[in-house]
Amino acid sequence: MKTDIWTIMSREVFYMWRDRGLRYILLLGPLLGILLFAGIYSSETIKHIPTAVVDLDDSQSSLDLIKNFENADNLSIISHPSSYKDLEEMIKEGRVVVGIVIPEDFGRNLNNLKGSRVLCIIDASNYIYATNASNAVLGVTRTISAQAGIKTLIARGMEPGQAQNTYQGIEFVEQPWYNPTLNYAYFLVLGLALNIWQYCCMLTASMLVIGETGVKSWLQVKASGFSLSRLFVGKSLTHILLLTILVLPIYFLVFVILKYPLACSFGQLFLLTFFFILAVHSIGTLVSSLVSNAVDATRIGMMVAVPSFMVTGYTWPLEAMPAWLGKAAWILPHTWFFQALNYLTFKGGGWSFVWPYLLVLLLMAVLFYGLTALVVRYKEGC
Amino acid sequence: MKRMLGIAHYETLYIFKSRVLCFMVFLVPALYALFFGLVYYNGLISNIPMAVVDQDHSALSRELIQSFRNQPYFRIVDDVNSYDGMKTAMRDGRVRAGIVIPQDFAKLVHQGQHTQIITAYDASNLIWGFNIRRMANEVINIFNQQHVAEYLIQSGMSPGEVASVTNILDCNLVPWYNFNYSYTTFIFIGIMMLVIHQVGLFSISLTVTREKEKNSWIQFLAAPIPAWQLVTGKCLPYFLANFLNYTVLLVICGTLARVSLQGQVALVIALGLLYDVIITLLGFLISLYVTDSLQATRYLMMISFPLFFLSGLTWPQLYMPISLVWLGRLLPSTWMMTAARMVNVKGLGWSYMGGTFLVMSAMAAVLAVLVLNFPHQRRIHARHVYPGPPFPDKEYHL
Repeated sequence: MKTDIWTIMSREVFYMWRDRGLRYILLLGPLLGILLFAGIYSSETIKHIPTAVVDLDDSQSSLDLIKNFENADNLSIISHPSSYKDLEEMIKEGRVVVGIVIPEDFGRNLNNLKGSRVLCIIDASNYIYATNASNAVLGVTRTISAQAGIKTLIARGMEPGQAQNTYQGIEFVEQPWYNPTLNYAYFLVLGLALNIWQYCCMLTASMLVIGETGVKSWLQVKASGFSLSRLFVGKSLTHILLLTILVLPIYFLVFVILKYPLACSFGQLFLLTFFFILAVHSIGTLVSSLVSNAVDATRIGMMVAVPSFMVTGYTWPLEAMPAWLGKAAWILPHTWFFQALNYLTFKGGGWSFVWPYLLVLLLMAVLFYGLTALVVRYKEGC
Repeated sequence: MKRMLGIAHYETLYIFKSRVLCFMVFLVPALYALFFGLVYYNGLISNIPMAVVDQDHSALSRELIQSFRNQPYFRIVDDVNSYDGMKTAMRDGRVRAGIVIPQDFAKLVHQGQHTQIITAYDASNLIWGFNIRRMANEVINIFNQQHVAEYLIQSGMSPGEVASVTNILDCNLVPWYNFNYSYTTFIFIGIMMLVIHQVGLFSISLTVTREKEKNSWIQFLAAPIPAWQLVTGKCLPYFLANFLNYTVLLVICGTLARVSLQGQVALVIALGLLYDVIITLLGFLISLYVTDSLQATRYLMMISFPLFFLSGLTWPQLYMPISLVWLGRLLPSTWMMTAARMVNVKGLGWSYMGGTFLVMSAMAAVLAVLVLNFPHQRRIHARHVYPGPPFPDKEYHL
């Protein structure tokens, strides 16, 4: 029995290696994925958001105001267009994301204690830019409004200390938990790279049954009287082992080379990953048993794998989806894996957190492998 | 011409004969659009579960809490009211944000002394993180203004005087093109352009590969028909189906996904046609050179995700290494996703699309040259993996 399984495993490795496309994808896909995403997010945060200021006043007060925007954390003033129309064009063309318009008589109105209004435009067509830019602008506007208010109160005869306290008595301190630097690379790179790797899992698994039954030599295999369950168990073990090995370089690059934070123990993460492989592999295997050729198996397997990431809640939260869809998403093993991945990498968590996830992934694997066995037995008439 | 239409007819028949291909060409794009439309249906983050740790229990602290309660952004979770409780709830995901009001908050404010309010949020998901930050900032700005006004009234100022102080500098923040920061407006149209790209490539990239696998490509090569007619005949059904999908997906964008489409119809059609030409030619080119259908399907599936992120549609290209920016610029999907946003979301006209049309036309021209000059010698690439029995040395009972 042991020798049989070993022989099947060696044969599977040999055939996987001979399948040039699969070989390249398995060896290079996950690694290229991690390098690509680490490269894309290498700047980690959105800083120096391109900003343009239209100063229609050109007074000392407007220059002071511009200095406040210049000193803002994430804004970078790159242009001083002379008119609102020019600014509008720059925003339309995407050359700047934030536009500040300081009106005529801005300084005079402030000095005469009359109100003045500054227009802050944000190009919100890119959400990432928009949320970052609006936070930066809101921070600056709070400061400059307070400064203007304090000056007004002093001009009206209030003690400087009292005027200051009126505006700045309450300080709001912001605490981003679990990802204090609001680092996009920490948030996304690992998830995106593992998504590429789970495509590889699906591609491999989708060949498991049809890779045998869809070719002419299948008749020989059947005629040999060899146990089909032993054959498919041996092949599955090979896939699972190889897919487990394939994920290790990703974790090595992310946690050792790139030094991304990991709040849980590696053992917990590894076990979660292993059980996810079982679940995804079982789905791929089921697809592989249902179709009539390898191309369709790949197509259908990937049709499940490709959009699944979007519904896991890893980026767009499950709570923000329609309620029924947010619940239905838990049917997919991907949701269990990516939710737990986010939790474990950022928040940590003991075994009491991990084991329900492992149990569900295991149950899914049992269910789908069981269904595969039934389908194969039905189709092969044994 | 007749022969070209004959080839197109043959290809159309094949699409309808192959159930999976038919499903892929005519239904998958719409199904993906419906699926993503549902995922991003709400498009807005609201009702964010928020914990309030009020250690002061004063009128002022209640006023602050009310400011958060009055906004649709936050939903105060009443059963979490201690710092430890907030930590646990934030960890479990029961709350995503929290405010901590210290003891003697009101007393210190009335005495004119400095005091701190902590606003914490779950930044493990930055969609939560940045939205909460923005919304909390908005609430805090409003509260600050109200608080200052009340303080000045208590100091003996008239409401008119107070208004002149608090409104001395009004900063009006106006988000353009996506006034409510809708995630759907931001991402949906880009995803649809990628769906068109990928489904188009999947479908057409098998057209020659399939003939090669069936050893029937030689008949096409041997036929006395110009290359352009052969290519057009093979591509026409896919081109038409892809443009139909483009139209259907835009309709879904505007209806189910509720993306406000601003683009001029002629411009949207022109971009769609050019994009369709590129996809069709690229798919045909892939089909000419890939070894078999399986490999084509695998590689195309694998590139979907990287294409999306290289486009700069989500993470701006300004923050990518220059090599990746240029890699992205070589891809038609990058240009089309950007153009689709500029035209449909920002409502820009022809004058802003000159560069895009130029680059995409150049891509189409290069692809056309490559496709029309394909090698005519017959090449058999198909390398099927035929696994043998597990134990070749055993005796078989046939």
